Amino acid sequence: MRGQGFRDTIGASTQGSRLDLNDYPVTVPSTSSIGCYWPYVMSQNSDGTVKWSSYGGSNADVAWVNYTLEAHSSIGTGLVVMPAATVFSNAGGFLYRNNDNGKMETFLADRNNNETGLAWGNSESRGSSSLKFLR
Amino acid sequence: MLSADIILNTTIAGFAVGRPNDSKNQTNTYGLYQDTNGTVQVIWEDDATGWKGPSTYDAFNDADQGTDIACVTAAAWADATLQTNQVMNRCFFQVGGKVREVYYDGTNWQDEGYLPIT
Repeated sequence: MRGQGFRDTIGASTQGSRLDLNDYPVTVPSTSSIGCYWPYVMSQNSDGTVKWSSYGGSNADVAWVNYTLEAHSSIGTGLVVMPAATVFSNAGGFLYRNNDNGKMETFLADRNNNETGLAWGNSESRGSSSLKFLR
Repeated sequence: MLSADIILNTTIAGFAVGRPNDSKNQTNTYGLYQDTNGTVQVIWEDDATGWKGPSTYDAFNDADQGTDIACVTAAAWADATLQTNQVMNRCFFQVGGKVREVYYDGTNWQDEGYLPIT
């Protein structure tokens, strides 16, 4: 997986610049979609589980981390990544096609890799305090 | 779990926006997909009652069968929360090979016309 960053600032190169994600060892099968919403990038493993990668900031001990989430997604499913709270560090999640029943499902992810599998609006899972901005 | 059936290879799109007048940092979330008739369907959650839809809207009329759909979510980072202003609720898809923009103002989906690209 490779990334290119574009910044709408005066003087910034219009071609953008490579992300340090390029130095992070995430490989993606050719069947996978890629979804992203900063700072989350996600892809699908060959067994239908989902790889959730997140960026913790340039001052974090480890800039990029990734987890495997046990979402049983259809191979090649679209993946839509979105914030699940207005404070980005609280929660992110995604929409995908559940391969077990063919239905669209939501999946809430947090930095502690706690899979919830709960509906997006569950007030208990929203804004999980286990999620922290690294630096 | 949401209740909308979708075919295997259909596009899925979505966006989130801060929930207006909410003290718990909650978001309104919208999901879009194309059904087997080629109609773009919208599902959404904007309060505590759970997911709503699917519903269709005129702004999505004539979407090409098999079109991709892409939507925009505003940024949120360490120094900025996801905005509650609805102005960036925009999605893009193909109609006759052209790219149409639609805009959700918090109440209605509006056809914003075609992008000047080929």
